[in-house]
Amino acid sequence: MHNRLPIAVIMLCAVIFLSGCGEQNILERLGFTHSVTFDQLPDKTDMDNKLLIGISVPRYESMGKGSNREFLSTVAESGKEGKQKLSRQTEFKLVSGQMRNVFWGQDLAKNGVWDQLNAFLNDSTISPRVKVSVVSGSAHDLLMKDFPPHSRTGQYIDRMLEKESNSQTVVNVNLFEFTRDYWDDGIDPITPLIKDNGKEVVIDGIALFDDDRYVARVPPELALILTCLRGNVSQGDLKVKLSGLSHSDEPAILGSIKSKRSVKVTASNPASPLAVTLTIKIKGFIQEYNGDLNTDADKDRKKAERHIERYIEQEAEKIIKTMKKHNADSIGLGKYIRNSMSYDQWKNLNWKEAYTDLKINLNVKVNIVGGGKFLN
Amino acid sequence: MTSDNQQTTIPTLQHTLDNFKDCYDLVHHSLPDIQVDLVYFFHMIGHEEFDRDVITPLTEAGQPALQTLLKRSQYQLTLNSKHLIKGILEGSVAIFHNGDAYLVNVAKPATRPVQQSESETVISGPHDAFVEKAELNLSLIRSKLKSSHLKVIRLEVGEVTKNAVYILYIDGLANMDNVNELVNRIQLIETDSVYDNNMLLQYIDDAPNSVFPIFQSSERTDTAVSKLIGGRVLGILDGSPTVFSAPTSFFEFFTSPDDYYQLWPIGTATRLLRLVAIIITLSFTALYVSVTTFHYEMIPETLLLTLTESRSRVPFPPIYEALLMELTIELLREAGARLPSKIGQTIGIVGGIVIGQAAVQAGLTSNILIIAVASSAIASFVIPSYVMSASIRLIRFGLIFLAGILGNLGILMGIALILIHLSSLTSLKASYMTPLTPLNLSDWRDVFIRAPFWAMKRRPSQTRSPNMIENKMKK
Amino acid sequence: MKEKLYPVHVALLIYILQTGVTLFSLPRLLAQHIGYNGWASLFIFSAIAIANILLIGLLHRVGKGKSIFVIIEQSLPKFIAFPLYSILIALWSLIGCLVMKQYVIIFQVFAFPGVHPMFIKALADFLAYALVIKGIYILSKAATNFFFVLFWLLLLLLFFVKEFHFINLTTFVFKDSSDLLMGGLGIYSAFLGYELSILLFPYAEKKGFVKAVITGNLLSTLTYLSVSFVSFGFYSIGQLRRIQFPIFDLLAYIQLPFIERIESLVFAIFLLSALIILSMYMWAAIEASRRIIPKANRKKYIALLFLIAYIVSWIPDTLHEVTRALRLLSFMEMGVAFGLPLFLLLLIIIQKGVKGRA
Repeated sequence: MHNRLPIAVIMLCAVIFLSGCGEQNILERLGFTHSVTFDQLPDKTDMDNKLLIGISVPRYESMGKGSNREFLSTVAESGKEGKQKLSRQTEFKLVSGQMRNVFWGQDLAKNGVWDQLNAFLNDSTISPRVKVSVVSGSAHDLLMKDFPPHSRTGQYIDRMLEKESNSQTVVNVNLFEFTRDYWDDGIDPITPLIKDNGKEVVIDGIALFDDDRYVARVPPELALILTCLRGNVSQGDLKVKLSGLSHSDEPAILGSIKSKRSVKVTASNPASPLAVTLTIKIKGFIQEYNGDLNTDADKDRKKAERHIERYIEQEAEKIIKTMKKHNADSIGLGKYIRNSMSYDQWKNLNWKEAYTDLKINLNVKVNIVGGGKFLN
Repeated sequence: MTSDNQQTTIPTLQHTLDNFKDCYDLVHHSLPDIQVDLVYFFHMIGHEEFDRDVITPLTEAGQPALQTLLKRSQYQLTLNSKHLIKGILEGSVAIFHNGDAYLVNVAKPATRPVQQSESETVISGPHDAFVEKAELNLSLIRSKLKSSHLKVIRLEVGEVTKNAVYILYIDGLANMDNVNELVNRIQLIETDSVYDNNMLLQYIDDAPNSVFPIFQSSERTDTAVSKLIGGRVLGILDGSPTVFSAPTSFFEFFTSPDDYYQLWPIGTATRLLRLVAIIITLSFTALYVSVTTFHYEMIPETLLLTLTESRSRVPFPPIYEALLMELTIELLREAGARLPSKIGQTIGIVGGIVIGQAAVQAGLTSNILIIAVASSAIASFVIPSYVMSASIRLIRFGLIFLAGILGNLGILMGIALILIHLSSLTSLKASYMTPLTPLNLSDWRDVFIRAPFWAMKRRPSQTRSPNMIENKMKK
Repeated sequence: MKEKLYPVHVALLIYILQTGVTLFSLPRLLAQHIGYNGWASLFIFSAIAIANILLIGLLHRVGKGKSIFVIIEQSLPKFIAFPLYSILIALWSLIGCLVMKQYVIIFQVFAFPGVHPMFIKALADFLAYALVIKGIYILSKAATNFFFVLFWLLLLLLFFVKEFHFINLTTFVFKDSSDLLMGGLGIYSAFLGYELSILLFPYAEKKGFVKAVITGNLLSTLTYLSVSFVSFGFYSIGQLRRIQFPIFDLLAYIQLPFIERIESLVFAIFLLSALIILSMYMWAAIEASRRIIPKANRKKYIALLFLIAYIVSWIPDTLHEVTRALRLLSFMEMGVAFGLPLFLLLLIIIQKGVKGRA
């Protein structure tokens, strides 16, 4: 063994040196794509489906001074081709491993995002936690613009989405969740909607999808209700209207909401129209109420609760109507229907059709847990 | 044991003086009125003992009673000149009278007083450490372990230096296979000199080419006694203040007497802290290199900014940067160990703070790497055993190198290689990685945590002791 | 480790041997071939494996723990036994090498896509060689040590408690399956590994041996089960069917304050598992070849066998080809797993019959 050791060591060194060198991704030589936008170009050119692609690449050497990012854009037929073209515009090697956001332009989203989605899923360097959103307007122009005094646009929007989703005014959807819902025949995906408001970027509501096409918008005021319809909520403030002695609509906020949703399938015979009962139990604190009702008194409180229930039911019905009209099962009722029938029944059922005839019984129960600091 | 394979000559005064020709420090003391010649090394004898055992009795006895006096047991009649010379070398006085030669042991060579060990300190606990004189060490052990079952075997190593080696074990607790194997190995050593315990260990090593130490050494008396109680075999080399114990398990190097002197939850927490420290020291810098060279996607977004920004000022790839910093730290450490303590402290501060800062500002390294390298270095000093922490530091370089070549896969290949190597090691023919392999869950109570004393009644399984349960020894 | 392998080590060895790279694509296979709630079928597969192990156990008892080669050579003349051994040698060494090659190619999804996989495989082969030449006792010790590094990975599943939705499981059981037979066999190949326990007979302690092998199999089943169950609740079934390695995406979803995207690190840790598989199969091949050429220098012919297997495993180039070759080999291995103990039992019965009459 002793005289073979040097030979083995030499061979080993040779193999080692030949293996790793040249494949490196040294940190400071990389350009980390932070956000990507996809827009559809109007069909003026000869090729269909031309995409306008924009990426925002943060630059780290000039931390804090001036514009510290690079915005590159190009036109291409596919995402991969676009990446190649873009890399010709910068001295860094563009990588997607640190990508955080994808923005789809409105027009592109309306035509279906499947192609881009598929490309992302096939790229193993892209994290499944990339956030997806639809821009009401041109995504490219939104990302290109700088919004002082906010930080880099990509990061600005990223942080805003995170914060807003914590307070439940919008959902935070990542690539994984979008794909999961897209491929699940019992639910349709949703994404947040954002808009350029001149001086700022604002949340414009929630985008409802039918498979991979953007079909309907839920305005921001109703976003929380949609979330309650979709699942359990543990935080959030809802603006409601109460009527006290004056019988007019008095604004109030129902805060620190805890909401539990339960779905029961009441008619699951596929031959006749299907029906579900959707029950939402909401608990919250009354805040910012200047009206006459005394929330500590039982009678008044019950009155307030009923009033809020009616208000929520009203708004929820609006949302449900929108969903049915555009065939978007955004709250996942299909999953429950699926669980209530046998496999063959479900397979033979055309859920999209049956969805329009689905009877949804909405049942809202509100419980006011406490009032404000001052007794009325 | 002296080898008697040379022709035995009857010791005469002239023969002895010829042997020690040109030795200025040899004294030839003649007492012509009683016809006695004394030959000895003046610096090796204790003068009180010399007066008491040699000068006074001889001069008082006078010529006729001398013969009877010399029959007393402290005067050993020596018939072998080699033996006589050895005796003089060991500090005895040779007495020549009437053609006979006697040896009297009045040796008292210089020795250091018993003090605290510099390399192994505990916060609270005994502070006496072994010294270079083996006899003194034996007395320290005997005073802590008062049992007649404690047996001592005397051997010798080194053809020229002739150091004494004492093997200690507790009869009934130690496995005699271990004792015999150890004795055998020591007897097979053929060398001119052995200067220190650590040198001796390299001669009797199970795996001399391994980067890991096979036997544990210690300067502390309480550690030595606890090893004996555990059923291990202890070895003392005359001339070295460290003693070694065998067989040793890999995990023993990560325990400290402090663990036992503190309450058991604290002892357990300290042990777990050490485990974390080992992981940090091995992997932190290697992970830094791997992530910044190959796996950028592992960095969380908030850290990405600082990391890239600090890396962007460094002119070379992360692996060179890391190796440079690690090399610098090793240079600092080695330099600090060689310098006298007054200068050493200044260098430590200068090196650590000033050079580190300057390096970052000059753009030679990034801040994060300094933190990684510094915490790795500090974590490596948490390991109580100095030789083991040196081994771990060496391995760390290998892992950094592999990380720079193949990223995460390289690190894991390095770890696989280390584990394979560890799996094949034995200490005195017992498995090195006990109690992981062979798996012995009851041993874990004293290895990965420190269980309360009422729960630790068994001796370590590695020793294969015939008596595995404490407090059950036959009196 | 004096003379015999303790049952604990046998169990852990079998566990690591069985839990292979297939773990990372297993949920997809279950979703594709078994259908909805496919994870439940793992119980059935495990039961089949246990039946096979009991067969091996029977052989162990009837043959009184004798080495299988001894049993064969007692009945069969050399010119029949040696070709049989050669087939086994070729089969086992190729399985080991291709498993490692598959591991390397999959790893290149994360990093070094341009490097030729055979370079990295050469390094891995070197490590396996270092392990095999030390013998089975040290191999099993290394396996136990590797286990203590690997088993922490299971704790990662705790991250998915929040993301797990029972409703994703649906109420359908085993519906919408496709290609049940071939797919099922492909899934069963994830359970292979226990059949090498037949070669451990002369090295392991007799008492508790069969129980140890079953324990290893059960641990493996538990691992597969927990990972698959979580996958079925985390992904929707349509999604699960289309992702090639669902566990990678699962791992990529874990986000900690100081690190994220740990899938390349976790898969790198799996190198330890792949190393054991390669080493054990090569060791099996060595055991068989030692019967043919008992006098040759051990280190030399182990190196030779590694070299030959390395060259042959160069042939399949892409992941697709390697997977297909492995599939073929695993079918053959399944045959060996069931057939070899049966064959040996037959031989023993004949031997006893002959002895009885004499």
